[in-house]
Amino acid sequence: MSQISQETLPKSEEPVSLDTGSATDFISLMKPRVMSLVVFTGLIGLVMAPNAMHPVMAATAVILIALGAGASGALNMWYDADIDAVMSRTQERPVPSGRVDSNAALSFGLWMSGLSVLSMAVLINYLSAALLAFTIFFYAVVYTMYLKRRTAQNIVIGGAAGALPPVIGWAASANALSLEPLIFFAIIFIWTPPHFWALALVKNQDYKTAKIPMLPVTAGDQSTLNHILGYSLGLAVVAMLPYALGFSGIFYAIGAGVLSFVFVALAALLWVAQEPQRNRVAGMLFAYSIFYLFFIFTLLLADRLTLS
Amino acid sequence: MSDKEQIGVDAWTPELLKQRRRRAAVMGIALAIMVGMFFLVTVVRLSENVAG
Repeated sequence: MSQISQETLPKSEEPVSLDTGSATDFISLMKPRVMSLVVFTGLIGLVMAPNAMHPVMAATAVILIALGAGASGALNMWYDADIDAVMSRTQERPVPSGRVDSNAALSFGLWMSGLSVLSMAVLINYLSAALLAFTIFFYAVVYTMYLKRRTAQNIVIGGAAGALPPVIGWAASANALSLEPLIFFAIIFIWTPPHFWALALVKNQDYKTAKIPMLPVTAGDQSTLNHILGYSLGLAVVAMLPYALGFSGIFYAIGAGVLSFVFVALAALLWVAQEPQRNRVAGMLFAYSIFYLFFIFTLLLADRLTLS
Repeated sequence: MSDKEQIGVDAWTPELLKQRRRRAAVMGIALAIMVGMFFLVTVVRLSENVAG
């Protein structure tokens, strides 16, 4: 809107930027697929917390976590519009495709950030609001504006932002933190690098074109495969911590063991795969990693409900 | 001067205007949900205090 109302622009000579983004475009700015995983893990954190939360309060907390996640997605799309435009996977996003004006995406992200954090503080509690604010800041500023274009460890460190939603959910319910939500954080934190590196292997050319220092670009395929296998083994260990520390029962341990075994097997298969098949296996690992995280957290919940 | 007058009526095609109205409607619904959410949380908190 700010561009439309600049009266100094000569109408006939300067191109006029219409604020033409549709509601669907603005929803796309919030990265709904990423948001769905954030909402899910946040909800699990909230349900797993020891004290019962009123359903209205719980629904409010989940909506606000979703808004915060959406806000950071919009800020990411605003800042990354230049690199999104040259990558095949992202060039149809609302900002690089021109459907949403860059300034509109920025103001949308900022308003949503403020709204979600302030509402969380007023309606839920200060701890969850502070964690939500930190998550948005970490994703939009630390990861998007700093790490992403500078280091191959971008998604390792930046993964902390994606790992925080279950901690926020827990804090919303308990107004305190303990070891349990930190284990949830650790599971997502260790899960993030193999998940994104599998995608980066498939989309290596995209990242090269955009000059994003993803591990396959800076260190090559073999080093990435080693890292994926190492993190997958680490994930298998961390995923057993809820059972080892007595938070979950045997039901979770068996399920998580099977899921982690398949994860490591796919990582090992990728490690030995040769060039023509490698991308296909990397794609399989990427898809399976989403399934894995969803079911690990479902198992945590199911186990808790069974125990209780 | 309205936005439409500034940039010229031709730029706002019926399709764009329809899209803009739809977006305004979605924003209105979202705001109504936010208001409802604040109202319900207030009621829950008040009732918890009364029960307490």
